[in-house]
Amino acid sequence: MLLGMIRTLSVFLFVALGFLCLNSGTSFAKNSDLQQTIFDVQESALSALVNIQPITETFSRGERRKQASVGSGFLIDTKGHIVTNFHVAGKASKLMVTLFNKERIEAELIGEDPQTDLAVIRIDPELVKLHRMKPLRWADPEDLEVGRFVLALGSPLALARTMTFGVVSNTDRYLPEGMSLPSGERTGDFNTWIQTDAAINPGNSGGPLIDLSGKVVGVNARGAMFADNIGFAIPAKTANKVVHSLIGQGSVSRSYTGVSFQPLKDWELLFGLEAPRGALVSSVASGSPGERAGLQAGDLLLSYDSVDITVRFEEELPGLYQRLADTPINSAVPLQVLRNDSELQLELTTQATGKLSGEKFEASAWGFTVEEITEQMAYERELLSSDGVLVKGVLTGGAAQRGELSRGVIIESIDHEPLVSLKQFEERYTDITNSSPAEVLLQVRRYESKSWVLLQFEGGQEVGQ
Amino acid sequence: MRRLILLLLAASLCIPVLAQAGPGKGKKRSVEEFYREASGTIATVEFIQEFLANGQKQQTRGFTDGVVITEEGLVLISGRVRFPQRGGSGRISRGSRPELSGFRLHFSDGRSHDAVLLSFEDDLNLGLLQITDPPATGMPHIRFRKKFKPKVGQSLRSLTLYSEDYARKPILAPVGINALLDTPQDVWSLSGASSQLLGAPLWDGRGRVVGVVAQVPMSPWAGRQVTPRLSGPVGLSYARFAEWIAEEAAKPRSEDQSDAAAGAQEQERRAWLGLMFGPLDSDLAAHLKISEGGGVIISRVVPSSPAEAAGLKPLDILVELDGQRIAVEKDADTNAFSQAIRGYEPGSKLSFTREEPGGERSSLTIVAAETPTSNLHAERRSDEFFEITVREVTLDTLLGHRLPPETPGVIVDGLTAAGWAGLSGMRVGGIIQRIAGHEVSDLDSFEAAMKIVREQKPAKVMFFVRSGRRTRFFVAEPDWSELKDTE
Repeated sequence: MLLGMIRTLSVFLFVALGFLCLNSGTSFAKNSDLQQTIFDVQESALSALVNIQPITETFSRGERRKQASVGSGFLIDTKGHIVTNFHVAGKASKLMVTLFNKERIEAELIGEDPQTDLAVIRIDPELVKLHRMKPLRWADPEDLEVGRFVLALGSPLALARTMTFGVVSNTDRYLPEGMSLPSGERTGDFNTWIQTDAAINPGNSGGPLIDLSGKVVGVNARGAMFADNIGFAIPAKTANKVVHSLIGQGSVSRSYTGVSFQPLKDWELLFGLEAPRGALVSSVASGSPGERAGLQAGDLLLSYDSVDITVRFEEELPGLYQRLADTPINSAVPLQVLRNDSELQLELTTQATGKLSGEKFEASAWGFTVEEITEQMAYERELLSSDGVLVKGVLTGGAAQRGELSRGVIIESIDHEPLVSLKQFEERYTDITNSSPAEVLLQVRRYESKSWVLLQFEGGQEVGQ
Repeated sequence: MRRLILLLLAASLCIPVLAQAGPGKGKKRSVEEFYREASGTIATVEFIQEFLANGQKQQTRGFTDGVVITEEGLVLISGRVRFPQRGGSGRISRGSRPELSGFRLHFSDGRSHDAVLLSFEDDLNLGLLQITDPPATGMPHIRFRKKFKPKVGQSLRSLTLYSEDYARKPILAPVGINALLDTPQDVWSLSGASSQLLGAPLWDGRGRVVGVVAQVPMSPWAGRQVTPRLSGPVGLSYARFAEWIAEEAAKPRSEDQSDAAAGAQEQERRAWLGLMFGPLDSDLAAHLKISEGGGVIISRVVPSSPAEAAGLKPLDILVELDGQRIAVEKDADTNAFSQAIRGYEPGSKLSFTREEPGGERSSLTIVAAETPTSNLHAERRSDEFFEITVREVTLDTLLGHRLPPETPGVIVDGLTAAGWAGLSGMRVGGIIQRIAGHEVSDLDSFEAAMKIVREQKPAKVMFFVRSGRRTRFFVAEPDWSELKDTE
């Protein structure tokens, strides 16, 4: 009796729900322009969407390991160029791409830019024709506004060809300085972000955020943890420019000044100014072009390269950093600076931003991996110099771990011979492993602390793991 | 058979007799017996703390556990009392080193006694009180087990009266030793010990105390080399503090203990060389062709320290101190060497033998300085209107931030989030170097700058703050009409 009642009730609920779904779906399809537009956009944009499966190499555990992940990307031209995030495809040793029609093909890395977290890969242009893929186009940055409907396309949690829907929640979101990518590079200094409530989850990275005309307003890049519907995309304005450089030159060239700024806010009276003007120099890295130019923390930068500067709010900081980065490398730039109520004329000579990370090497017989220290890494990490190699990882159970070598230290010498570069390390490593010594002595440094690490090999050199 | 029965009968008769004799006399105790006996020896220690925090002078009642260790009323407590406590809850908050007073012990049986502070042991984070009221003798007290070989897996018992929530009923806490540390020695990792138990004794199954629950500090830079890599409470063997207890117990006490109480809160004067080091293990010594027997490898020399003045450099190897071999071959040995150095008086000349790889030796004399002021003992000043407390720049902070020794400024020690300084976005830990254009090099110049600011009452006050190697500006916008409320 009871079972019968439950069965009857279930059938009723099923029918009722089915009816509601059918009813709402039918009325939307027939009556809503919005629904039809979404259908249209989906149809036109889907062929550009790809699922990317990069194979990257990691060195953080003391050995070279292959790692597979999943991200998203979109076709931007008929030559087969696909835009994605640096943290998806950057440094990939192999790239497989699944197209909208589930065909799986190989792609190559064309260029990468960790500072904006963008990368470009390429597939065979013949396949673009063959599969009738339609490239997406960038939206006009002027059209970006809060409240505009947007669709996020991608492979969240590896669920390929997923579309989510929302609005632009904010066009100019400033995320604090000092963000780092999983691979350690600093990012996000040169752009504000589009915030959207279209669901963005891991795997959406590199996918397009498109408006209802089917144009790309941003490249989805990150979501807020422990929050609902707060995702961020790199604006088309930034992405278009970077992608253009990556396709053209394979990299993005930027000037480095070593100067950090703060917005002036409404503090102009503290500097004897009647109206907001200038950007406040908050910090100058030692040894940087900014320091060589004589800039000091507390200076107010009034003009840069004869262009007046005003940074009143933090959202304006990325624009200033972009302006400085866009200065041709090695150019002498006049600065107008206000210091203690006096105006100074200084001259800053820019230098190229170096590599944010170095080449890696696996010293398998010794049980650790190392990374080249680039000049830029030395600046960013406040190292004393770029001499030596950085220990990237120590293998569990290897000779290095037994000798208490730890990750993050810099190897300064091997068997008392000073070490300057990764190349030297590789040569010394090869020579030494060929002679199979019982012991190798490393001199290591962590900032100002130094110590020795003795690698010991039972019965001669260990076999590489 | 009859003899056996008689023996068993005699043994059973003995149990109540032993129980009455007080804890620590040999026989195994049931939990009930232990609880009854030990309860009379522990007390909730109530005290008054007065300290500067968030720019304001605060007075709170603090609580901790105390255990009576002698018949004359010597009481062992945790060094936690030296940290500001929030509203008596025991949670540590930021603020200056508190002035301590008004110690009073409350036992579970209703007894209460006044006490004064005698001394602190900085390295071990322990303190001693003396009961003064009534004239102390015949106090129920614990007994230490002086020879104790701890084993991993060993069960111990602890009691705490610390929580007021249980109407002063002692709370039994079974505690286990889950690791014996090599560095520092005689320190155990404990299972079942929460921070509530800090200062509580650890009893064995026979009712004898083998150690206490402690939180071993601290920064190696202030000369303290006792740095286990455990952040929570640990078990501290009696062997670690036996000597200190014996010395303190033997000291004659005057009737007026106020001088002792004041002295107990000062930083101990100890020799300091300004070097960091590691052990010279035998394999490395053999590889470097250095004589056998141990030594220390210098890893870092503090700028402007006695070690630097003597010409010591990182990677130098010291093998002898005053003609005696430095027998440090593994991490566990390093503590003994640290203790040996700190046993010297500041101003002493320490003669070292340095050995080069290959075996060449040279002599080196380092004149020990006094241990630099630690963060705990650093002097603090407050500005009540801006609701900010600052402390002097200590060596700990400079080395932690990788800044040169002469770095000027004062460290933000505490601020109220909604106070004028806090609203500017400033955070604890930054080094203030300039206020409204006035250079701040130390606490006096901080006060002078704040005085000028208060007199001039500008609408906006700019603070220039260093954090590591980066700097940043913060602007406070005080409502000066509120100034008279705080003056």
